[in-house]
Parts: sequence; structure tokens; C-alpha cells
Amino acid sequence: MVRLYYRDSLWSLVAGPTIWAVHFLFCYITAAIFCAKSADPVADFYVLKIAIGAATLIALIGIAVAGIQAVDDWRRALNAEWAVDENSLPIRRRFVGRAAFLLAGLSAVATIYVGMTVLFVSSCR
Amino acid sequence: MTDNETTTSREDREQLRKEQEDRLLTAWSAPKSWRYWSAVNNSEVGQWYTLTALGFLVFAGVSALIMRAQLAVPENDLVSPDLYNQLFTLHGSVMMFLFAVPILEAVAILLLPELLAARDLPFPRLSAFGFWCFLIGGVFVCGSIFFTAAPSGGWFMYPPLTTDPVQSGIGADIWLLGLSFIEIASIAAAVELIVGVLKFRAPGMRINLIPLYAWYTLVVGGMILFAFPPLIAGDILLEMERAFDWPFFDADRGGSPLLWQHLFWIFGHPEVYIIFLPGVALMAMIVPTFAQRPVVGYSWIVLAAVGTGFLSFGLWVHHMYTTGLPSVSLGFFSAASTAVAIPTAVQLFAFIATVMLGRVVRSVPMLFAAGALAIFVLGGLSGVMVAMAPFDWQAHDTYFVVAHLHYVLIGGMLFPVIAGVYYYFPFVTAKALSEKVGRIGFWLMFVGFNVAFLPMHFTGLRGMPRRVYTYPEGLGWDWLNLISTIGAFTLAAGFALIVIDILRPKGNQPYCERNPWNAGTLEWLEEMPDKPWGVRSIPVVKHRYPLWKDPDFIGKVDRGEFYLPDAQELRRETMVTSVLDAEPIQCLRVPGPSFLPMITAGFTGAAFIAATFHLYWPTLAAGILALASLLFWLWTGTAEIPEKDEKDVGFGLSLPLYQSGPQSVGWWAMFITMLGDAAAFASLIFAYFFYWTIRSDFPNDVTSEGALIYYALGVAAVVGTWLLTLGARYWNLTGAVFASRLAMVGAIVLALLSVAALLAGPYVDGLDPRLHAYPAIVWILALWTVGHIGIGAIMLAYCFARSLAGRLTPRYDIDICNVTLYWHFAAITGVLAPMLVALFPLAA
Amino acid sequence: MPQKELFVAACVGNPNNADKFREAGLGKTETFWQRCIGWARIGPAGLAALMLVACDGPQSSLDPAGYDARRLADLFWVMFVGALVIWVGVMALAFYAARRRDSDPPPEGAANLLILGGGVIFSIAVLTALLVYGLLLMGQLRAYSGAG
Repeated sequence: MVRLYYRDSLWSLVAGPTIWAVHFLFCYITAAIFCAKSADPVADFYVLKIAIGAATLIALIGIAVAGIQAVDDWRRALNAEWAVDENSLPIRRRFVGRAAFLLAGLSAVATIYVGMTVLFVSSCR
Repeated sequence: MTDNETTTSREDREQLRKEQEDRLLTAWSAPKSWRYWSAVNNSEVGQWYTLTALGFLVFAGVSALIMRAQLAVPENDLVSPDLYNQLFTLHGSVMMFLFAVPILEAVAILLLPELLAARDLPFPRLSAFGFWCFLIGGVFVCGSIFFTAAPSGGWFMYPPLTTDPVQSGIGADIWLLGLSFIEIASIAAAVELIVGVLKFRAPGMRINLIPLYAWYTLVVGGMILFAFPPLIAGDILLEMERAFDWPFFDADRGGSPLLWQHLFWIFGHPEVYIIFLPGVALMAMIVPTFAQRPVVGYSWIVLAAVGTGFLSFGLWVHHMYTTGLPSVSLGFFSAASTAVAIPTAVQLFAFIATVMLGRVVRSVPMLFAAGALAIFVLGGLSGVMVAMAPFDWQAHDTYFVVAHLHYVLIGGMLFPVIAGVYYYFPFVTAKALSEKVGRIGFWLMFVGFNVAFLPMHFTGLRGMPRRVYTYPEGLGWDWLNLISTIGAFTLAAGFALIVIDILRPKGNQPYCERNPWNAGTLEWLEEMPDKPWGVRSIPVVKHRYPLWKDPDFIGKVDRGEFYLPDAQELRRETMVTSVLDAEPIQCLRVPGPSFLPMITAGFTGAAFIAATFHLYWPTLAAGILALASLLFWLWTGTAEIPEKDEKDVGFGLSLPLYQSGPQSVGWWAMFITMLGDAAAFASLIFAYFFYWTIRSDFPNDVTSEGALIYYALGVAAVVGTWLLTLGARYWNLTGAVFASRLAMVGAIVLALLSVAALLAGPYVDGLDPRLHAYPAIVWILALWTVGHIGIGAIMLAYCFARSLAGRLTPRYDIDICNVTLYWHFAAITGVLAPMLVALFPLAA
Repeated sequence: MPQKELFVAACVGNPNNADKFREAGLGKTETFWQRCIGWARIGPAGLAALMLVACDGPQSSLDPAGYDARRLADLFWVMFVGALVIWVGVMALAFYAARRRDSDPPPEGAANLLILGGGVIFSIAVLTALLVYGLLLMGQLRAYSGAG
């Protein structure tokens, strides 16, 4: 499986939200430049739609990878030697995996929200 | 074994315990009499900070009451329009900058070490410095109203109103410089708190066991780090325009007032969550205690905290829905503003679920928490309403928004803070507040609040704009305003009752019993009355609620059965642990009382205040004195070489007393600070490209060949400085001390050369920053860059001197490690900025 | 200005005033649910009064005179009713949770279900619908050929 980062790192928690942030900035900057610089924003609006649609797809794939990786960590921690003690490495890994998975879910929803804007609003006005 | 032997050994143990406590007491006691003000320990500084912030709350509250009195009836002339403008500007600014953000930092300084079972924060003198900055800056800003010189342009200081010399007097400068000064203190506190949460946890407290309050503190610290720098960048631009006529926001000369709105709200929206999350954090401590069970959905709440932290940076344009941005852009921000409601809902449902599974103990903190929920949910719902851009076109700048933001802030912040005051009062003073007064105060506040602010929704929908000092009869606003005024005074009466209860002398009142609320978290280990050492011994934590899990936990800590039960060398010591799993890595000695933070803050404040009045020579003098006292403070108080390498902390565990690089707390502080610095730099870059997108006359000049050569030389010199700094660190580490010193000197020389070259670039191009926003932004980027290189040169000179003085050696190399880290960031700035200003005009 | 209705309406909006009512000797013998039914009876009357008061006025955005303003007023009413229902629901839930008197607490699973159902599924469903409505409306009002 492709891993984006080392298992024991805080990156797993922030990976999903970071992808959301990059996607959000991309959408904002692309739209701002497009609306300011395009010669004919009405006729060319489909270009912006395609760009943002593609970016949303890529971002969602990235978030999915982060989410799958989080579930993997979570599962593996469950399968590890079971410890009743809260203070054990598997339990900590299970927590990070679970929280990272939830964050990936939230990031996916937020990314879809931002991306779907161009389905309903097709204007620089 | 005979009885006699047992008695003897018990006596021995008692004797040992007594001696240990005496030594700890010697190490940790606060200084006496006038020297008390040199204290730096988190309990003293935290208390001063909290009380000062509450004082500013009262100040801002009184200004609100004057405004409400003015608005009670139409055509009122209680205050003049100008005074009214000053009142609402100060009300907003003081509530935001001098109450809401500082109180959370104050409470975090007070609570965090005890929550994590550390004995202090990583940089106690930095907290003290932050406090003194806050006090000086706050008094300066608030005091201005007594000379009718207060800022009057609204708490968001929109140009062109605030750049117009006729419409805005010295007040705008007081706002810009006075509050920038405090923002720096806020960032300092954020660095402190982030490092605290990451590195100062009790051994065994893995990240899944951190108290939720600490999670929130970590998230909020990170948000401050990225939210405040854009505002500081904006402050610099606005003050440059006001003081030196550089037209950043002047549409006639290539600038744009909209740039300020962007920079302000990139700060301003995360700010709302910076204020709200600590309120939720207090609820996350209070609700489980009074439900008498662990919080339900711990990882859900962590998800919500981290998720909110990120999403809150995608909302800023929802304050700008009516500025004519492309509707597709508004759509993105509307979407993010909607999405942020999801994590908020998750946290609230997690609290309700916790209450549902527990058995609620009725109490004043719980009452305020319930009130907070009722108010905040309504504020959140009206927030979702104004997140819809089309509705906001109607509601924008009306009293509907005033109502919404007060529901959010009072429900999300003031009520939780008062809940926290009742909950933690015994923790701070060992005395309890009156239950009865608390209940009366609550009902007055709750009813008063709703009477004041619920009608405002309707006042706003009926078209009353914000910030008007009076209004005519017959528009349907009269009764609603009168009701709001009555409510506001009721709210104030309730609050006054609580303040009186806080301030009344409690000499005769008995001390609380230990852990009075039967809470499960570590801060309640504290003895009543409190001992200055924080925790008697630093426990091994294996559970989220150790006090509930192990009934004898308090006893074990008290008997010194954990780490560091003693202070053999009479030094203030605590443990540093690793980020994820809290494995012990160092026994850190934290500094004790000193007047240096206060003196440095005094000189820094003097520099800012003198600059406000355009007294540039005194500014320079005070600035140099501030730098000198800072260097003296660093020289005498940091990177101390211990008398031995390692120390036995108990259980046969021996920990190093000195660590450098990523293992040390100083490295983390530098790294985190530089992330904030990078955010400010990114804001300036944003400004550059912002001009490019909206102005066809940007850039209005092309870099000449002569200037290109200077820029290239400058970049080369910066890269050279960076390489030599790396070399200095490497050679020092390998013992080639002479080569290391030589590299430092070479680096300083190259740094100075790069300063000259980078200033020569715009100079030979003849760029006049007063003519157009393009030369102005180029000069700002150049000044920003050379400023960073200059500071880096001072740091290198400091390392050189430390090396000569034998305080920086191959074994003890914190200074050069941290300076190298600084130079990583400075080099990025020093390469990117010249390349941008030199090459972009050629490409565009 | 019908102050009495306004007062009643303000009380309706606030289940938390229940304590205050009880202290004032009101509704002493009623159970929690009976009180709720009581509120539901006086609620609509009070609300209607409040709305009448709130809507008129020369500068009122709820007294629309143009096409766009009417569409925006519709949006407001939809959100207003939705917000009211959600607020009352959340408050009722919180009251139930705090005043639950049965001896066995509900199982941990019920709590997780509450977070998942209320915090995630319900909020995402409502917010998605509202966002689509808001974006569509903005798209129409600001369309190149529209009545913007």
C-alpha cells in the first residue's frame, strides 16, 4: 500500500485537513485570477469549472488515501496484542487512526462543499 | 520485624519528606515584598493576567452600557457622535484584543502546567514578558479615551476612513501600534502554550490521554500562530501609509482598500474560533466533572477541535460578501462557512451525550454551561443564516449581525469563562465562590442577555444599521432599542454581582477541601491552600482521569512516590517528554524570578508608544535599550551549562539536564515562532499578488539590469550566509571551534553585504514608495527581508560572543542550533522575496 | 406595541426559563412534558404577534417590495423556521439528558449513536440542503442574464 507518511507521526491527523486547505486555496486563487484576467469570463467559465472539478477530484483521492491509511492504522492497532491499559502503544495508535479517519471524513465533506459551488454558481459577477 | 523498627523507618520517611518539601519550597517560593513583581511562575503570572483581562472586560462593558444608554431613545444626545465612535471602536477592540484572546491565554498559563502535571511552563520569563507587554499596551490603548484621542474607525479599522488624516486622528496610530504590540505578546504566549502541550506532559500521557483542554489549547495556539501574522502584516502596511504616505490602500495611487479587509479578516475570522474554542475547552473540563463520568466521544471532540481549527481559515470572505467579489468566490466561502458548522455540532452533541450517560450534579458552573449552550446554539444557527451569502446581502452591517455575534461570543466565550471562574476559583484561591450569588447572577445575566440581544435580530431585520450614534423616530426601532437597553443593564447587574463576589475579602471563609468537585483530572491534585511547587512529585499518567481511576493517586503524589520529588540543588526543575508518547527525555531547569522581562517589556512598550507620536529618536533609543535588555536576559538566563550531565529523577531513571536540537524546548519554540513569521511573510506576498490580480497598472515598472545584478548578488550572499551558518554549526559540533567561529564571522559579513545589495536593488531602480503601491510593496518586501537578515546577523554575533565566552561549546550547542534553524527560514525569505520583486515584473 | 405578546413570545423561545417560571410559582404541579405542551399551545400565538411586529417598517427587509428582496425574504423564512425547530430540539434533548431520572444510564452505544446521528448525519443533511438552496439562489440572482 502507498503510504503518504510514517505511521507514528502527527501528519496522519492533519493530512486530510491540509489537503482540504490546499484545495480551498487553489479554488480561491484560481477563481480570483480567472475572473480578473480572463478576456471573456462568460464564455470561458467552463474552463474554471473543469479546473475546479479536476482539483476536487484529485483532492478527494488524496483524502481517500489518507482515510484508508488511517483505517489501516486503526485496524492494525485493534489486531495488535490487546491491552486493557489505556496507556499502551496500540491504544494510542488506535486513537490516532480513528481521529485521522474522522478528520479525513470531515475534510472530504468540506472539499465536496467547496467544489460543488461551481455546479450552482456560474458567474464572476 | 519489631514495632520499634517500623516506627523508626516511618519516622525516617517523614523526616525525608519534610526535607524534600523544604527544598522544593526554597526553589519554588514566590519572591517577597516588592520583589514579588519579579515573579515569573505560571501561578503568579496567570493570576495577574486573568485579573488584568477581567479589568479590561469591565472597561469594555462600561463603554457598551454608555452606548446602550445613548441608544435607549431616538434622537438622544447623551454622547457626541465622535465619542460614540470612540466608544464602539474601543468596545470591540478591547473585548477582542484585551479580553477575549488574553483571558484564554491567561487561563491556559494558569491551568496548563497543572493539567499536564508539569511544574511550570517551558519559558516562564516569556510569559511574564507577554503579561507586561499586555498590561502596558492595554492601558495605553484604553487610556486614550480619557483624552478623547481613542481610535474611532471601528474595531476593524477599514481604510480609507482610517487613512484619512482629517477623519482619523492619533487614535488610529494608537490602535495600530498599541495593539500590534499586544499581538506580539499573544504570539509569544501561543508559542509557550504549544511547546507546553507538546513537550511538558507527565510521563506516560500519550496523545490519546491528553486532557481535552490541552488539545484545544494546542489547536488554538496553532491558529494564533497563523492568524495573527496577517494582521501584523496589515498593521505594518497601514501604519506605513499613515506615517509615511506609502499608498498601500489608496485607490488613486495603485493601492486598494480591499487588501486591508482581506488581511484583517484572514485574522478576524479564525479569531472568532480562537475565542470560542477555549470556551468549549472549559466546558470539556466542566461537563465530565459534573456528569461524574469520562467524556463521551473523546476522539470525536479532538476531530472537532482540529477540524474547526483548519476550516476556520476558509471563512474570512464571509465578512466581505457585499464588497463585490465574484459570486463564485463567495460560493467557496459560503461552502466553508457551512462546513464549519459540522464539527461544532459534533462537539455539542458529545457534551449532551456525556450528560446523558452521567448523573448530573447541579452546580453554578453547570448552570452557566447550560446557559452557554442555549445561547451559543442560537448564535450558531443565526451564523449559518448569515453564512448564506444572499441572506447576508440583506443582513450585512445591520443589528442582526450585532445580535448574531453577541450570541456567539457571549454564549461561546463569556458564559463558559464564568462557568470556568466558578469551577476553578477554588483551584486558584482555595476558597469557593458563593453558590447563591452565582445562581442570582446567572439568572440576571441570562435573562438580561436575551432581553438585550434577542430583539436586536428584529431591529436589524427592520433595517437599523450598526454603529449609528442615534436614529430617528418612526422607523420601528424605538421600542426594540429601549428593551435592548433594559436588558443590557440587567446583564451588567448580574455580572457586577459576580465581580463583587470574586473581589470580596474571603479571610474568614474556610479553605475548600481537596478536589472539591471530585474531578478526575490532574489539576485537582493541588493542595488547599496551594503550594508553590505545582505538583509534589511528577506522576506517571496511565489514564485520562487518573484521580478517578486510582483512589490513592493523590496520596502517592503527595508522598513523593513519583518522579522529581526533591530539589537537591534547590533549582526549579520539571520534566520534558516526547511529543507522541510522552517518554521522558530531559530534566529541564526553568528560570526563576527576574525583573528582566518587565524591563524589556517596558522598553519595548516605550518604543511603540514613542512611534505612535512620531518621536522617532526616542523610538530608536528605546528600541536599542529593549534589544540590549533582551540580549542581557538571554545571555544570563538561557542555555545554562549544568554542573553535571545527568540527574537521577527517581525510579533509577537518569535524565540529561541539557538537550539541543529537536530534543530541546528552545528548538521547538524557534520552529513554531518561525512558522508564524513565515505566515506574515506569506501575507506580504499575498498582498503583492492581490495588487496584480485587481490592478491593471501593477507592476508599473520593470526591473532594470543594474538592479537585477544587485538582487542576484543579494540572493547569493544570503545563500552564502546560510551555508556558512550550517558550517558553523557542523564545525562546532565536530570540535573545530576555530573554524566554527571563523564561519560565524564570515556569515555576518556576508549577511551585511546582502543587506546592502538588497537595498541597492530598489534604490537604483529609483522606486519612490510614495508614488504608487507597486514601489511601496517592493520596498516593504525589501525591508522585511533585510530586517530578517539583520536580526539573523545579530544572532550570529551573539553565538560568536557565546563561543568566545565558553558558553557555546561542542557539547553545549543550543544557541547555534537554534540560530541555524532561524537561518533556514531567513534564507527562504531572503531568496524568495528578491526573486519575486526582481523577476515578476519581467514576466508580467 | 403589544408588549404582553412580546413577553410571552420571548418566554416561548426559551425552555430554560422553566426554572424561573417554577420559582415564580408558575406551573408548579406540571410535569416537564405538560409544560412543553403548554408552551406549544401559547407558542404560535406569541410567535405570530412577534412576527407581525418584526415585519413591517419602511426599512424592513421582511417587507419586500422587489423580486430579489422577495426571494431573500423567502430564504430568511425557511431558515428562521428551520433554526427555531433545531434550537427547540437541541434544548429539549439537553433537558432530557440532564434531567433523566431512570436509574440505569443508557448504554455507551446510544451516546455514540447520538453523536453520529445528531452531530454528523443530521447536520450534514440539513447543511447540504441549505447550502444548495443558498448557492442556487445566489447563482440565479447574480446570473449574467438574470434579474440581478
